[in-house]
Amino acid sequence: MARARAEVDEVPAGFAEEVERAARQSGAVALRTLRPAQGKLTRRAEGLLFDALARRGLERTARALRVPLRDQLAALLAAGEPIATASLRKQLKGVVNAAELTLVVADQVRAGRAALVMRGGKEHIAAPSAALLSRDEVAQVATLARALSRLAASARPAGAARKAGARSRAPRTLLRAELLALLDPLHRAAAGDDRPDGDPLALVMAAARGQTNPTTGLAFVPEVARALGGRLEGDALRAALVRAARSGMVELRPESGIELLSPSDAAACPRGPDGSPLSWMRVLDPVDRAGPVDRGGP
Amino acid sequence: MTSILHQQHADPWSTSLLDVASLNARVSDAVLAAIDSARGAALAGGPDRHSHSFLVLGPAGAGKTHLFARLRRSAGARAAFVLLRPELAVEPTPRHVLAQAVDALRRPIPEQPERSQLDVVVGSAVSVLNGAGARWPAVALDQLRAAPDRERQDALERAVDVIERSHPEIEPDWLVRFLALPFAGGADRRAAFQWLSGREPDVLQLERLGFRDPLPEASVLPALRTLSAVASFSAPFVVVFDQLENLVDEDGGTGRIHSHARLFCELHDTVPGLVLVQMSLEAEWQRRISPALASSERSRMEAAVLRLVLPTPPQRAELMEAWLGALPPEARRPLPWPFAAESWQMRQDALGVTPRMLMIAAREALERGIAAAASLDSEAEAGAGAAGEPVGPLEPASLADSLDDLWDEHVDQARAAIDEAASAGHPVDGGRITSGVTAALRLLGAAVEVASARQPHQLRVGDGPAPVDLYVVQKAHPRSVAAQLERAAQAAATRPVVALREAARPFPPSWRQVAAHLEALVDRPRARWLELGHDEVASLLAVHDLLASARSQDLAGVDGRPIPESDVRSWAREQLGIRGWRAIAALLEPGAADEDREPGPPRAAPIALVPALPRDARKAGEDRGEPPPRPAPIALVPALPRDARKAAGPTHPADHPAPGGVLSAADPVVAAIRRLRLASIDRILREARAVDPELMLSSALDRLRALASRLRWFGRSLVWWEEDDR
Repeated sequence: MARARAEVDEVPAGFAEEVERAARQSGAVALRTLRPAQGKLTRRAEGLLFDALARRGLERTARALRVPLRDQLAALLAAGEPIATASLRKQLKGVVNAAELTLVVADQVRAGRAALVMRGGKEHIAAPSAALLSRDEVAQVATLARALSRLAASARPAGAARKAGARSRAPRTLLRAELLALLDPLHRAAAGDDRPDGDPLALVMAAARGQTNPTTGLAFVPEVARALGGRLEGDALRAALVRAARSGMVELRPESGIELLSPSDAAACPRGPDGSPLSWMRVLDPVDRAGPVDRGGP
Repeated sequence: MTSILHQQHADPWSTSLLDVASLNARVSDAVLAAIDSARGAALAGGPDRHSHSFLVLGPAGAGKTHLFARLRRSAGARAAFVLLRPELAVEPTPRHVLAQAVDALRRPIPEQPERSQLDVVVGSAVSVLNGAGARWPAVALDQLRAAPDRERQDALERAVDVIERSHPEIEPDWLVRFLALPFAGGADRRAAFQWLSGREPDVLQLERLGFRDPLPEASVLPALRTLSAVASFSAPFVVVFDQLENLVDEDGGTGRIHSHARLFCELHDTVPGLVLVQMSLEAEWQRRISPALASSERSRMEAAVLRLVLPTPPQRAELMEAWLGALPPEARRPLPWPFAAESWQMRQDALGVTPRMLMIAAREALERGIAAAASLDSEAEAGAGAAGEPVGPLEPASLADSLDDLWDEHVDQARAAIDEAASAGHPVDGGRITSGVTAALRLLGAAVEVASARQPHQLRVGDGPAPVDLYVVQKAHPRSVAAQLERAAQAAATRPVVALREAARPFPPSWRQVAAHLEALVDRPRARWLELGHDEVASLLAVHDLLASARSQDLAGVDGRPIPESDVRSWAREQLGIRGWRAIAALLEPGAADEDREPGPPRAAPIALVPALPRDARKAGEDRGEPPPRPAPIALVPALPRDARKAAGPTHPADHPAPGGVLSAADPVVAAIRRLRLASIDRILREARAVDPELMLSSALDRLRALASRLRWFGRSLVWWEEDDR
């Protein structure tokens, strides 16, 4: 005769921590696996366990115990790379159904913690950053696309000539300068440059925003220089950086890496009073620009 | 060089600060808010306590260490601070954190030197649990101290019951011992501290506590949870991981980064109520550390990033005012003094000025006079003006002077750390000594492999066919020491082995098994046994910390700029005489005899003593029934000039013969035994060390053996001085 398995009416010490650790490591654990070595949990013990885990910030579904989807999503987005929305269900653990996922994504986008972005024709979700176009910029792209389409259409043989066949007419082409003039606003929108053409300060600010690490909020000056693609170099670049710092738009910070700065990179950087290269910059937000916080004590 | 004006970088434990409250207020406010939130959750009995984590980034000299000191001063008795810095050979584990956290409890509260953090934590917890709130911890403690033993015991047990009900994750046994700490007497208290910190107590300490073993591994995390739970009633633990740029290995390996990340995530996820703060150079974090992290690690470690900002021109003026305020009133003058007017204008408006640059420039201007400061400024301006060309490096003499001073500073700190460990009743942690040896060997370009905790040795040196194993025998319990020595002796059968121990922690003569294993070890031709003197240990600790500070760019020259790590390393290689340090020499040339190595410091005339003979000679003589031959003169420690000591590096006292010709009555060992008449070896050593702190057990035994005709031995550990009876 099979021996009846003992039931445990209290949550064994350390079991909640063990389950939490497992859930946080893998994102979710199946409820059926929640069985301590001492035996099966009674309903009461299960209730106590779920209460304890809920207090530790874990969610329970019908089949699993999971880290909240929004936290899992935030952790995925923190890696910096956009994620295809279609693959989210596989990447997040313990998802109950697609509707729930759609709700979480919409919620995060509405709260400004995530953005939906098209990449290669497929919808992706990404952390908001200067690398993404704003709604206005997307509208501008649409306008430019229509203009570009019109320009391309103008190069096609028109009306009767098209019916008579291409052989009867010489092919048409376009002026390179006209195409570049049309594309220029597109480049600027892509670089986040909303200032008048050719303003070095605007170019530097746009490049700095694009190169800012979303986690640390810092941009590496030589990378900013490279992002400018030769539009601003040498003394002009350094002067623009100093101007941006003097006008309170950025903070220039001394190099603090250990042999991370090559001589050519160092040459792109303005210098501090002691001659050390100012190789990092931080775009100041309006609060930073308002000045120091006034506090009563240290 | 000790005044606040001379500090090149802030002392994290200092309470006297040059502080501008508005500078980086957002960063300190965020951490202080987290401290209050952690206190609030525990006081409200909230079960939803969780740990808070912050990552603080900034360039060198922006004030990371200053931030620690400021937080400590601002929080006062509201938080307990633990400062952890990466060590080359110390595995970041919960046990290491527990040891540092318990050590931190001994520190006094800022501006209340008569009260320790321990008093506040225990007093507040007891007071809260009695329903009196956390405001009067001292009163609660005093009442308990005045109460009869039985009553106090009952009160503490009630407290344990209440805490256990609201925090089921705690370890009750650990908590009972912990709450009793403030009421324990000297030796009991030291023993309890040793056990509670997860370190290995010695035999007597275990006997006092009624335990057979140190805190088991399975209890370490529960102990940390318990400590965090109790502390969060009044003073939550703020665990600060500083100088994280030192996690980056020279060869680009990421193993140490992941070890730290694992520990951090474990604390974050499983020890509620902590405030975890990481501090690092921003460039190193963004380009080397962050890319090495897994996304799950990054989501915890970079959950809240706080950037230190550089002072604005008005804040620089405020900082200078604070600096001037620290001068004696008669020496004080208004700004722009001590700078020339233009020089101050330039420093106030320049881009990229850190607080450290400003402080060092002010100090230099004060010490060298305005003219010199102006000349430095003009040099700097000339350099800064040439686009892309850095200002030239410091003059070699100036650099060497700076590094000389910095080395002395680090040696003093290391000595203080050794003394602190001794007064707490435990040896210097073996991991720290191993880290020092590792740093010194890597500086010399030796191949060093740090062993894992499961391996018996601590280091393997050399990549040839016969690498040398290092055993750091710093344990306190004879069982562990004997096991370590046994393994070392076994290893010495196949490869060279160096085993070492702090000379200040001699093996008591009653540790017979240890003595047997030690004898077996030294009998091995490939084994070397070293007892390191106070200065030798201090130098090893100091070289590790100096190189770590260099990597963190915390060593600044007279111009306020960080001294490049490469300059520090080449200076240390050339000036510290590391190859001559006994531990290093033994590891690099395991086969060489002492006299073959680099010459030591200048020596004085030898003293004629009768020390112990080499074991082989003694044994051969006994076998033939001959009287023992007269041994060679023994060496004592001479007082050498500082420069000579520095040039030669730390050496074993036995390398130094002392002036004189016979064993005099003034010899500390002779004086001690003559005064005590009947005494244990331990006692004689303690008395003699009060006169000569460098004295080692082996040397003391040699001297006692030299007095054989006047001494009577009782077993191995007691001697009787018979001179006056004859």
